[in-house]
Amino acid sequence: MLDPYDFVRYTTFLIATVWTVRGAARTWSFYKRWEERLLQWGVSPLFLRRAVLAMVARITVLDPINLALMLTLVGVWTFRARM
Amino acid sequence: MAEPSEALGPDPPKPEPGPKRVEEPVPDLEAVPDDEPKRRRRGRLARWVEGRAERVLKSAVSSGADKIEERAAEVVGSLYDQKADDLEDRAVRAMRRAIHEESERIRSVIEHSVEVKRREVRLSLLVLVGAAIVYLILFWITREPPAAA
Repeated sequence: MLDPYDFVRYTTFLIATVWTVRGAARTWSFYKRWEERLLQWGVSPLFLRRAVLAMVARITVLDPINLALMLTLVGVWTFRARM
Repeated sequence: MAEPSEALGPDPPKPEPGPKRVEEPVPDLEAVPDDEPKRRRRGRLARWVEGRAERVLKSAVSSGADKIEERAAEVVGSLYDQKADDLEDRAVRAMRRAIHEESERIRSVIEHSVEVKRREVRLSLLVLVGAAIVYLILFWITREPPAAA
């Protein structure tokens, strides 16, 4: 019998993993698409890579509300371990 | 020594045949009395002077025309250069303005897409945190109290 807490943890962790992988795949396709366009204009790949990473950071950990929600989620996942 | 009549140069072109005009009778110079050689020499000299003056005037006019043509070519060339420089400056300014506007448009589009993605991530995290908290509350409510020692 699966513990309800473990069920909650595994389910939310699975959903978060699926969404994270999908977001990473979409970010990668976005990067490759713009790389094809901007390399013709002389934009360096390093600059483009840094710009995409900065954009991802602004969307996730550099946004205070999203950072608080992620820390809350991690806290919920590790609630029993800390009790 | 050449006579003044030879120095006059080639004969003027013959007039083209046109409508017949009533010609005035040419005075018969031969019929003039004997004191006319002096007057004849004067006529030759006058014709020579007239031809010489005509040639000098023609050469002066032609050299002046050449100078005027060169000067006009220089003026036109300098005007063309000024116009080309002005057009080039305007084209460069227009290109810079277009590039600036395009970069601003791309920047606004990127900022908008970042804001949209931020909302999506926030909504996903809210769903995850809400679901976890609801299930944890249900777990605490339905769990059995610990057995008393």
